Amino acid sequence: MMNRKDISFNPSALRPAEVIQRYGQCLELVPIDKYFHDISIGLYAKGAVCTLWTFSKKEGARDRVKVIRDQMIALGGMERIPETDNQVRFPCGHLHAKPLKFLLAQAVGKSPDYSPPEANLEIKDSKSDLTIVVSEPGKDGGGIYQVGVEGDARNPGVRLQMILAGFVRYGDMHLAGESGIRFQCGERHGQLVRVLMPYSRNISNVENMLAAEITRGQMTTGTLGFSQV
Amino acid sequence: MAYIETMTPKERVMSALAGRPVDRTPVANPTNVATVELMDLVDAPFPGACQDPELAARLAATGHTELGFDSISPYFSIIQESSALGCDMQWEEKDNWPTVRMQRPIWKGADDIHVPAGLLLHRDIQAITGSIKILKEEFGDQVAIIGKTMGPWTLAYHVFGVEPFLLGTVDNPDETLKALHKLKEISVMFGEAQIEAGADVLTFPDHATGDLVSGEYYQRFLQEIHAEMVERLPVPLILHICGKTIDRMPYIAQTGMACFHFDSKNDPQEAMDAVDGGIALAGNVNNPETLYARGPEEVRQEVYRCLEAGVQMIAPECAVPLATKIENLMAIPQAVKDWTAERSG
Repeated sequence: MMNRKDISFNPSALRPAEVIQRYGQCLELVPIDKYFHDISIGLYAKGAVCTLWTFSKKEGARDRVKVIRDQMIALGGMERIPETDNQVRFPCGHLHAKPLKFLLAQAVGKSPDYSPPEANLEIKDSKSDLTIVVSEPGKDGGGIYQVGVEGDARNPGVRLQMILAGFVRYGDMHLAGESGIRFQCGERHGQLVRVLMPYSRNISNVENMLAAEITRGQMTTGTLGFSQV
Repeated sequence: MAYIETMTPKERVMSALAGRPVDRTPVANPTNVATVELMDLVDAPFPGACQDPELAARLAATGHTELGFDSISPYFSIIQESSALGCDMQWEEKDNWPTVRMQRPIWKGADDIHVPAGLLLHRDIQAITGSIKILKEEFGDQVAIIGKTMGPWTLAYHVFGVEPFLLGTVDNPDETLKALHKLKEISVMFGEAQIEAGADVLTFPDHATGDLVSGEYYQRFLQEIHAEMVERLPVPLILHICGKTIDRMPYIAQTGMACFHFDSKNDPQEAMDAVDGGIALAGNVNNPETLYARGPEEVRQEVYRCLEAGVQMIAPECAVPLATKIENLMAIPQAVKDWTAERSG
């Protein structure tokens, strides 16, 4: 869906009902943007089009959203929707809702001048001395990324399986063969793989982080201190 | 078939609380529906919106103007009077609830309880009474203004600490009762101030929750006090207790309170059966799993379940998570309207 420039992103113009009608459901919400006055940043989705939105009317909010939009492109390989300041989509035309959560978190949470590395897809494993290496699929590779581990460790095969499980869980990816993973669209999304790598290597940490996120801002007998749980 | 709304939001809420017919089931907010996005919309973030009457009023109003609820509630948290009493506060940031540091209680026993001079002038009390005045002026007779005053059990947790207080209920129940009766005067004082400011209804949270407090304890320590509140506070009262409370609902139904706001841990039909017409019910759309984590369709299903059980006011089960998505909150009144329209004509 195109967003014309003259009625483009304008925090003053739209109320919540209008935002939802125009841009779809809120897929993800970052409650506090630490790099801009603690404003909230929502990612709304309609079809495959993602719209970054804040209801904040603070001066500069629009520019901040543009920066986040640019980071979604740089970090996640999304492409801008022409004539908009705040809309992006994946070139494959799919939404990829699950990994978008992590992409948004990084686009908002990393410093505005952060640039993703252009190096190979590799990262140190957080639970062993192994290095996790992901190879890009070739032209006819069917969008399958091969995941390997290098270095010395006990049971590297077990670690590899856990890491693969992480990609499946957080990237909504499918297993392909013994050590392959692919996105549901079958297309190449190397930048998205890079976003997912730190999460895939440590499921328990990520689950704890997600649980803490969920609990924050909830009023329960537990968070109030009125419970043994 | 579309139905025609013949009542103002306020008439709807007040009629439901009085047991009178309504044009459709009201959607109320006995606790909180403020979210971080709504805070941004009106530039009224926490914790400021808990401390300043204008910010509180601006944020509270969005519950009606943006979400379509039939009520407005400017007391978002549960700590205002405890802060005014001098409890050690953790105010937190925009995306989290202010809480009392109960591991540093301010009092040890009933004899310590006193009302500090100028309590009603304290910033965190004025945030509520002042915001009610603003909202009354702006929304006048159209929308129900729901205030909130903490019950003595909740106040006891805050001022004594949870564990010391609960141990006291076992070791020295007479002293516990004495403390509760003294603390209830604070509930009445703050409640009266809000009524004077213009509150049409008061929510009365008193956290004798199922996981720490038995139904028998509720009857022993609180039922009489809650009945007394009905006599002393001249507006409809909505009692709120979190958690599993089916076992105490028959006792609650005897207090004379207008309504009981109940948690999603209780099945709506079971709750209706438990109160057996003795009190109206408000609730009980689940917060963490439905409103926070799911979408409008799941919200709709829960609303329909409540309506089919005959719940008299539809509401989230408690204060909504601050990062709740707006469309899920808007889905609540929409679901009520759709359900009503489906059954009209």
